[in-house]
Amino acid sequence: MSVIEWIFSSAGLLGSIASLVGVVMAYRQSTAAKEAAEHTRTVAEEARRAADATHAEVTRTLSAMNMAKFASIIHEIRGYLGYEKLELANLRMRELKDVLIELHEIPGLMDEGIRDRLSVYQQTLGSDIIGVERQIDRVRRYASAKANGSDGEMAGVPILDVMMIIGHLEELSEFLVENEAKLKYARNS
Amino acid sequence: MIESPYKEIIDGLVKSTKAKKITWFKTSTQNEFKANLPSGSVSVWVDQPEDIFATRITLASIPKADFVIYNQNGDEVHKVQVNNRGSVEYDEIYGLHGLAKQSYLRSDETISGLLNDLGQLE
Repeated sequence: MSVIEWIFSSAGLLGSIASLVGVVMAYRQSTAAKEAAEHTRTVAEEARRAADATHAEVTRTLSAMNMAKFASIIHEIRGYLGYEKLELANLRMRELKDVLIELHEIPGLMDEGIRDRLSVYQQTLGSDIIGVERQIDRVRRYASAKANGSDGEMAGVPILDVMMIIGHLEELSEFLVENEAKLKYARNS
Repeated sequence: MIESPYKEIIDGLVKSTKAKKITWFKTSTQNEFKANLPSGSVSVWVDQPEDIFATRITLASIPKADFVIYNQNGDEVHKVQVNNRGSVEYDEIYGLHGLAKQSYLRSDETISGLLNDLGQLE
């Protein structure tokens, strides 16, 4: 074999080796890329799970806080109604309804049955609020008529059944206490 | 006359109440009845005609009847309020109120049941 033939033969061999090395390197790079992608996916999945868990914890904590707030507001409303301070009762009843709506809107917090009951309590509270406002309006109008010289001595004819409203609030309070216990159980499980 | 679409809603409630497709219940306001429907709820109230104030003082500014529409959250969406007992609007609300009261009291069933009971006693 001449020197020139040997050089060409060796170059071919070296080329083949280089190709083989290239294939191996490409395979390793591809595997590394797949592993990197898998790792990224796992990290993203873990991050999503952590975010979900945090969100659930936040909503449960929020609800537990709302439950405490509910009890306090209901207690106040009963007091105001008992002393016929209808304007103050009305303000707190509106606040109570807003918090009920907030609770109702928290996604995935409660089952449909509980949500439906919450809707009924919202509706009942809504008409109780209208009733209180109607009574406030009547009292004001009669008082105004009396001030203007009309026979308004029996101003503010009661058309509101305050005991019925207190009954509705007691029902709501019992319902919230039941669900507060469930929330605490959910938080500890 | 009550404006559209509230008039249509009242007419629909009259029709459905007559067909016994709606359940009315009492609220915390005397002489008020309420019905819940999937999209919201409605209440109808009429001041008691035997209200002694009606005979002692006549105040045009005092509402004598109202019809309220609530959304699913229980918020008031619209209120038709009537101050004059002699108006067409009052008669429209009064008509629905009478049916709602009958529905709540189950007057028809009670009266026919009593007649049936008495018939069996003879």
